[in-house]
Amino acid sequence: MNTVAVIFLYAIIGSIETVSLYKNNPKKECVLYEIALLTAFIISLLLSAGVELPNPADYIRHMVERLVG
Amino acid sequence: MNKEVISDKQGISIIILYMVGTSSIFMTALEAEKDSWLAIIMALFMALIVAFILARIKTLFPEDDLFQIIEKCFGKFLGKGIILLYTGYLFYTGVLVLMNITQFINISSLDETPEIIIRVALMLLCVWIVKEGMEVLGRWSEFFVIPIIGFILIFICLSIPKMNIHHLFPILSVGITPMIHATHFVFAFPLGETVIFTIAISQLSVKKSYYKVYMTGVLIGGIILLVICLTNLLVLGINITSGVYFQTHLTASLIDIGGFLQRIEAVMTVVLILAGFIKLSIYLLATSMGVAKIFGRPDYRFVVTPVALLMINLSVILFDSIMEFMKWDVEIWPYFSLPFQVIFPIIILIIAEAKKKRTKNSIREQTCP
Repeated sequence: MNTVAVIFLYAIIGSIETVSLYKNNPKKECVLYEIALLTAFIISLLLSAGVELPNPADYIRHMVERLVG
Repeated sequence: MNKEVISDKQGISIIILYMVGTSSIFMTALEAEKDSWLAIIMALFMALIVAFILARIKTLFPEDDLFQIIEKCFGKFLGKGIILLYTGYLFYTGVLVLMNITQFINISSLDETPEIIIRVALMLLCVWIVKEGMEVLGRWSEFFVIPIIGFILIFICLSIPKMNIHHLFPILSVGITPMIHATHFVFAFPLGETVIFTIAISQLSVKKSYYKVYMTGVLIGGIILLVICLTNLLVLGINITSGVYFQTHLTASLIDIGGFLQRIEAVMTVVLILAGFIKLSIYLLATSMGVAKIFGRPDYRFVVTPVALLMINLSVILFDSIMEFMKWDVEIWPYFSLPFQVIFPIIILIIAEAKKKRTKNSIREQTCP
């Protein structure tokens, strides 16, 4: 159910934004936009499927604790 | 390249709303217990010094934002690295702000709604206003700053009957070390974050007024924070204050004028969410500008939506509960943000001063050999 909602949401966002994007922007911007949107989509899909992703807060905690003590 | 110019008054209102948003929802300097108001005063002085440094940097390069200044000072390669670090910091802080606001909304008013729905709805508005640009953001803040400050003042005046001055005494009972920790935390959380305005407010209509805008904004925002903190302490006392997450909300809910004027906390919630919305939008704007800068694109608007979606994704990954979030915030956040708020600006200022001096000397040598 969640996965369907995520796909639906990204489809709406993509279809609304892409048209004006391709009309008004150079090609490089469009490629960058698509890559970023695809990354967000994949992460959302994994999250909606219940996959545990690495948590940056833990890495930052380790880093700060190593530096400050 | 389209520059967005805003007036001094709009700049000051953005900074005030930014300082009030999220940080006035919960009290930040609770390590100092009864003396958290003293910690806020001390942090305010430090924040004014940092604001002065940043205003000096912006006066040296009035046309550029911080990212362009970094590229000019450190060169292309090292500059890109520092911009990458800054963008990561802004992105991460933006996620924390988003979580903070949505947790507040979720706990105070919409407790049956899943948090993700509130996040998506809030982010949608932020994407809209950021795509309209900094000028719209400036006008929005100029319009809303007076009602927001007005409601906060009314809230403070109405809580006067519940205040008890003995809640503040004895002063300095906890000792100096917790005071310094608390000062560091207040500095790191709302007051020292002026650095984001060197990125977001890329140009003011009057070139020389950066000192005025930054310092007035930080001063007024800090004073509002101080007054809210004092009100919470005076009304609730330290035992209740350190026991709840959202003190301002609780203080507002206690207001009762003659059995007639009650339940002010709904208004306060709206006011605090409005201020938090500006804060989140500025983080989204600055992160998008950073991403666009890393890839060498002149305009940031195309990347706003993906960045917002990534922010929502990360907010799901980061913390499971508000306890975990607050623990991380108090223990790690002040040290994590220190380099970006203090150390990098000082290094940038030194290099910028040296660069300006050298170019001045070389111009003088060329004109009069």
